[in-house]
Amino acid sequence: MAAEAKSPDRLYQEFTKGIWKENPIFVQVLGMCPMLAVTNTAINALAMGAATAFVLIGSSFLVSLLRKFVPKEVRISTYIVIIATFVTAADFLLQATVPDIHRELGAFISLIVVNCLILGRQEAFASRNSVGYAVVDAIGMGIGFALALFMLGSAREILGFGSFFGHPLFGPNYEPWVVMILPPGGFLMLGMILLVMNWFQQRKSRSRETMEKAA
Amino acid sequence: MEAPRQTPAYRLIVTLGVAGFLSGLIIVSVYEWTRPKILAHQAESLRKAVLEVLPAAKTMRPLVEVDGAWRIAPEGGATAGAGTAGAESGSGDGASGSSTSAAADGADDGAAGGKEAAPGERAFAGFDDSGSLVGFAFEAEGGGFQDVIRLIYGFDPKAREIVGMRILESRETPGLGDKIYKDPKFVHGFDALAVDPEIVLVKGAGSGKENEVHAITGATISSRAVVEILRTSRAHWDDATPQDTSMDRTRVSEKEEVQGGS
Repeated sequence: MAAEAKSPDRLYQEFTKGIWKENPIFVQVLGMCPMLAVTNTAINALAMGAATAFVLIGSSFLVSLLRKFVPKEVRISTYIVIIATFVTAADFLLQATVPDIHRELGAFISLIVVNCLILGRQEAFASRNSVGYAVVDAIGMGIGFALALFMLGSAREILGFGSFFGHPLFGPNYEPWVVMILPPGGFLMLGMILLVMNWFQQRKSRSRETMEKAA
Repeated sequence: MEAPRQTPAYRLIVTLGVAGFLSGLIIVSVYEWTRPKILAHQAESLRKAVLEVLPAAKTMRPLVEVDGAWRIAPEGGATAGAGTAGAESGSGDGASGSSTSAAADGADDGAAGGKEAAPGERAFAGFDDSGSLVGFAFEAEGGGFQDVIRLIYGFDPKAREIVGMRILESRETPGLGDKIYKDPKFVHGFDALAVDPEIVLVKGAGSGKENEVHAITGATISSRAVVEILRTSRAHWDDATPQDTSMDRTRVSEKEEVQGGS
């Protein structure tokens, strides 16, 4: 286990790893169910990302705070109870503040409970680290997840509806690429983005290798 | 191999019990806190939908079931008490022999003021500025291409026309079936739609009759589902709607006389 002393360096690392190096969608490939279902428009993707981040941060905080009191035999059940509480709260809050978006997201809000990203962070990180790191990690992962959803949502909305945040972009003669807003479009778009990201990654490591050889 | 240290069972039970209790407490508080806002949103969107499908209407009141017949809820909402409704019908319909029994029935129903229909098949009466009835709005639902389609439509009983239709809830295919509410041409096809002899769905140009709905290209099944829902709902309500021959001048309070189940 890492040292408990908080170094700003480590805090920074725990924060940024969720956004880029260990991005939940593009690198860990977790949380595919909401990714496919609700990223057909930018606004839906943002709302889903925000709701998931809220649940993730809240649960990470509580799980980390209670990590010494929860016997390991019932830890998963306890995490699920904590997560479900936050999900239900998020459900009511969305319904009370943005009823239109809540109607669009429908059942997928409740399904945040089974988003493996959230339970994964509790088991892999929050239950083994102090509150500060756990919250920073959750914020990073939450932002990374929301950003990834937003990227997918924007791309799919632009191609599939020809609009961005509901504003038409290409005029009335644009023929929307309908498959992009259907679930298969989610897979297609994710595949394309993963392809580009891995290509960059490979190029980077290959150039590092050649540099090392030359040295 | 050494067996792992066992945590006593009572600790497991206590942990989960406490977690469940706290979680329940939090959920109930959030629920109580957000409920008024959620209900207000729902009521507002319902009111908006009713007034949208009844363009001439300015105010609305639900229909309630009293003694097996549908009536317009008395002024002040369905919860205002059936006593008022009974009194009103008693004074307004002096000539009718059944008015006293109607009042008694109303009183029997207690403070609920009659029973509103279940969500999904509710009905409302719309009134214009002067308080005269302009038509009814009905909720209806039925199977679509993927899931249940819920809609609301306005009906003018005098012209026997549907005067507006809005989809409240659907999961039709994005880009195809969702045109039942995104395609203005289809939606406005219900702005003056005769229901006699019955609503028909036509593909292509049709013959220009007033009871024709033009199917959306690429979404025939969703279009047919909407028409089917409207037909079913018309068949159900045509007999049950409060009938009133002197609709344009009568005040609502005087129209408690209902031809039950004719």
